[in-house]
Amino acid sequence: MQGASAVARLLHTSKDPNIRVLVNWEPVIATDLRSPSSRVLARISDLRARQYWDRERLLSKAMGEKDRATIVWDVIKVYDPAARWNDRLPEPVFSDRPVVRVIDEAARALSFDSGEVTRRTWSVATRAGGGAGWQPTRSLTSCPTKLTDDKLHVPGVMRAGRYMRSTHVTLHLFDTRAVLRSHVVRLTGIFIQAV
Amino acid sequence: MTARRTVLVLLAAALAGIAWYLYGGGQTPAGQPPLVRLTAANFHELRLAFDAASGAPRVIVMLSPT
Repeated sequence: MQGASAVARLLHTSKDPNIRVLVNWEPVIATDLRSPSSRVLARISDLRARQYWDRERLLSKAMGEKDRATIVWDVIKVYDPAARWNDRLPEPVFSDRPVVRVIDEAARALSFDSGEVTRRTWSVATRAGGGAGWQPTRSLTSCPTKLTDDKLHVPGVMRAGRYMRSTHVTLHLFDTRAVLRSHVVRLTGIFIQAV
Repeated sequence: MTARRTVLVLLAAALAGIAWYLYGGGQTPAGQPPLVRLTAANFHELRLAFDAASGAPRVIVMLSPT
């Protein structure tokens, strides 16, 4: 329930009228016998939300659930405006759990400062297969990312309008608003510098 | 006979109560679309809702109701 209240706060903070929040309620623990009550649904009353009861955890399975240990829940995922759900869900620009603890980071990922989402744009150096060394890229947008420990893996990056596949980039993160050199561009409050 | 009828009525009421508890859903807040019960048959509605809002940031939250 804390997660739902956190989402309500996030929406209350947001000034962007276009944000869409899809709330997927799913049974996870033994007491989740029934669909959410009106009282539970009322925790997220913002009109930008749509609420679903996913009794079979279809979305969790679509996200990789294979057994009880891999149920995807108490998670918040933020998607870029350009992302589309074709054959499979797109990679979120932010994904973390538990919701109540990461809600501020999710809000930053949505970049509410101007009332609009600022497209994430940053520059990095990449090293593609073949050992050609680090090559500076152009501005990247909507780059799917996965943060693991102190390494940010970028499975595919946009470069000159084309996607390079199987590219992994190791980056340092700087939690500062100081703009560094040309290869370091502000990314909603954090900065990335190529190694 | 009366006792038996009473038991049957109570049993029916109990079953109705259990059915309501398990399947009677809550209502979404005023102004929101009704709660959608996802099944394999209508799961695509979630995808449609996601794509319908493309051009705007979207958030998916996955929560347990209790």
